[in-house]
Amino acid sequence: MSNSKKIKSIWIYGMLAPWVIGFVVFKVYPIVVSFIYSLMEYPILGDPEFIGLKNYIEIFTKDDTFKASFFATMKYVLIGTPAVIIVSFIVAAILNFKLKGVNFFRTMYYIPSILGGNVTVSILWTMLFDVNGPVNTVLSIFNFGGGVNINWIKDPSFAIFTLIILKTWQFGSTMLIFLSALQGVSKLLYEAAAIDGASKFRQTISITIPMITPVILFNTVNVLVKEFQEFNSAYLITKGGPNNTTYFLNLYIYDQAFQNGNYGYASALTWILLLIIGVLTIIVFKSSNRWVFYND
Amino acid sequence: MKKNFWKKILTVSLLSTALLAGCSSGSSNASSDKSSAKGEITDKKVTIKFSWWGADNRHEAMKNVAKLYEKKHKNVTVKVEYGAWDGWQSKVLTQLSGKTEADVMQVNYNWLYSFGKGKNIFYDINKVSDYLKLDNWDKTYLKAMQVDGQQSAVPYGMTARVNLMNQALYKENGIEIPKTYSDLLKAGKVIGKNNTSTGKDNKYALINVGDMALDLFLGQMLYDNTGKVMQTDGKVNYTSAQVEKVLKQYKALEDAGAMPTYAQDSTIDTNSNPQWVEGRTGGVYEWANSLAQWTGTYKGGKATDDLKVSPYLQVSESKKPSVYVKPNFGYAISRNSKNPEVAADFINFIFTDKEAIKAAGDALGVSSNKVTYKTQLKENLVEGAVKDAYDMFGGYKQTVMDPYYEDENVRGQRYDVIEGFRTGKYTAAQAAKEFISKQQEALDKYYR
Repeated sequence: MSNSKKIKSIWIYGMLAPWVIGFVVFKVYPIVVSFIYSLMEYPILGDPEFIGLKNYIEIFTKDDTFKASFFATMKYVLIGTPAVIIVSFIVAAILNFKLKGVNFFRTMYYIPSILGGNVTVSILWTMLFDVNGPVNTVLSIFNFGGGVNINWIKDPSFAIFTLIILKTWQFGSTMLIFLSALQGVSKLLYEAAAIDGASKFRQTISITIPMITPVILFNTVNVLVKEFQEFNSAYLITKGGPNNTTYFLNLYIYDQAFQNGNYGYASALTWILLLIIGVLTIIVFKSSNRWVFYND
Repeated sequence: MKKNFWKKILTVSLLSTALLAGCSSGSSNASSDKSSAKGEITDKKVTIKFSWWGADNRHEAMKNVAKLYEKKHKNVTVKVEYGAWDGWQSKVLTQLSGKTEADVMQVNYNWLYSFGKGKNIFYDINKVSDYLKLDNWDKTYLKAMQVDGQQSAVPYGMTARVNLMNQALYKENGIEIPKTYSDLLKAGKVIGKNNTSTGKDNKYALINVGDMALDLFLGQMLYDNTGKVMQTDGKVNYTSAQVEKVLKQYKALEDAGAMPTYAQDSTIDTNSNPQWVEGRTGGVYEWANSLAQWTGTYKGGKATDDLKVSPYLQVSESKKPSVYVKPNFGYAISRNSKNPEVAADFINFIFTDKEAIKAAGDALGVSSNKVTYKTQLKENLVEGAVKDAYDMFGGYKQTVMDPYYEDENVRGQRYDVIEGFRTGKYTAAQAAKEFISKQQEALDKYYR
C-alpha cells in the first residue's frame, strides 16, 4: 500500500472511530450488559447474583403488575398507532391542497410534536381533561340531556384514552413525512384518473394511498416503536393509574429500576419489551409484502 | 484485511480515548486536613455538594445556610442541589448507583435500609465524629439511623403525621372539630351535604393529599383499631378480617362525604391542592415538620388563623392512640466523598451554628439535636402550626415506624390495593386479602 493510501485509510478510520466508540460504548455495551443483568438479582446498590432465568419466570408466572402493564401497553399501541397514522394522513392530505396560509397551518400542526409530553403539556392536559374542565364543557354542548361528567383521568375506562388523545395530538412529525410523500405522487396519475371520471375520494383510495404505502409502512413502524416507548404522559398525568390501566411497560421498567432499585428485574422487563416490539415490527414488515407497493 | 481493519480501528480508538483522558482536568477537590493553622477546616480549596428535597421555604433556608458556611470557611464552596419530593428518591438512587451523589445528602429514614437492603451504603459517620459531634444526640435517636452497626446518617428530628384542621370551615357549618372517626363521619354529612359525585365546589371534613397520606392515614386507623403495628421483623401483623373492617370504616367516611372518593380526589397532590388552598376541606393529614408549607398555601398564606393542629382521631373518646413517628430525615455523607471531614463539619455547622439554625428557621421542623433544639427554643424559631404539631404529638405514646414501612416495594403494593378498593376493582374482603399477601411478598424479599 502506498503512503498516500495509508494516510487516506488512517484518515477514514480516524473519522469513523468516534462513531464506532460511541456505538460500542453507548449502544452495544448497554445492550449486552442489560441482558447479563436480566439473569441476575441485582439490587441497584448491592452486589449482583446470578439467578439464571428466575426473573423471566417470575415475570410470566407471578407478576400481576406485568400482566396489567402489558395489556395497558398493547391497548395503547394498538389503538394509538392507527389513530396517529389516520389523523396525520388526513391532516397531511388537507394541507397538501394549495390553500391560503397553508404554511401557517403546517407550522401550527407541527408545534405539538415539538412540545412532546413535557411537564407543561401534562399540566395543560390535566386541566383540559379534568372532570370539570373544558373538554367536558364542550362535550356537554352536544349532550342535550344534560352535562357530561366523564372523569377522563381517574376513570379506569377512560384514562388510557386521554393519553392516546395526547399522543395523537402530537402527530406533527408523522404528518410532515406524509406531506412530503403526497407531494411526490405524480400529478399525471391524478390527471389521467380525472379524465376517466374518478372522484377525489376514488383518487385517494386508488392512487394516493397505494403510491404512498412505503411511507405508511415507515410511519407505522416508527409510531409503533415510539408508542411502545411511551413514558412521559403516564408518568406525569396518570402516574400509571387508575388500577394500572395506564401503567405502560416503560414506566414499570423505570419504577423497578430507579424507584424500587431492582436493576436485574428491570433489565429482564426491558428485554421482554424489546422482544414484543421486535415481534410486532416483524409482523408489520412481513405483512407489507401484501400491501406495500414499490414504484420501482 | 479484516484483521488489519480492526487493528486500525482499535489503534485509533485507543489514541482517541487517551487524548480525551488527557484533556480531562485533575481532581478539583483536594483532600482536607483535619484543620489548618488558621483554624480552617481545610487549607486547600474544596468544593462539596449538598442536596435536599423540600418546598420553597426549605430551599431558601438551606441556600442561606450554605452561604453562611461559605462565609465562615473561605476555602470551601458549597454547591447546592435541591428539588421537590416528587421524583427525588429516584434521582438520589440513580446518583448513588452512578457514584455522582452529593457529598452531604438529606436522606429519608427508609432509604438507609431499603437502598442497601440491610447494608449501610453511606459513609460511616463514626469515622468523622471528631468533626460531627455525635454527643449532641440521645443514643436512641442515633440508633434509629444505624445500619449494620454503622452510623449511616444523623437524624434531624422526629416527625409524625398530624391533622392540620381548617377551623373556619367547621365554624361555618356550626360543628366541632372531630375527636373520633365517628365524629369525622358525622362532620362529613354536614360539610359535604351539597357534594356531587365530581363537583368542583365539593367540601370535605378532611382530605388525604396523595397516595402516601392516604396510606399513612389507613395505617394509623389500623393501628388505632387493632393496637398492632403494620409489620414486625418482616411479618405483616394483621388478619384479613381486621383489614377488611378498617377498609369498610374508611369507605363509610368516603360515602358520607367526610373524605373525597377516588373520583373526587384532586389530581394535584401537593400543598397546591385546590381543595386545601381554597379552603374547601376541613383539614389535611400531613407531616408535622412540613406544616409551614401547608399554612403558606392555604388561601395564599393570608388566613393562618383559620388553621389549628387538632388531636389525633380516636376510635372512641376514651381510647387515646399510640401514634407512628419516624426520623423526619437525616443527613448522610457519601461514601464517594473526597472530603468527608469537610462534609461532616458542614453537617455539624447546620446543627450547631446559631446563625445557621436561625437561617433554617422552621423549614426543617423541631430538631432532636440538643444544641439545635436549645437554640430553636431560645430564639423561638419554631412557631405556629409546626410548634403546635410537635407539642401535640409529643403528648402521645409514640411508636417508631418500621424502616420498611415506607419502602417503595412494600408500600407500592399497599397503594395498588387501596386504589383497587377505592375504584371498585376489589371488594373490602378481596382488598384485605391482597393488602396482606402482596405486602408480605414484598417484605419476604428483604427478609428471606
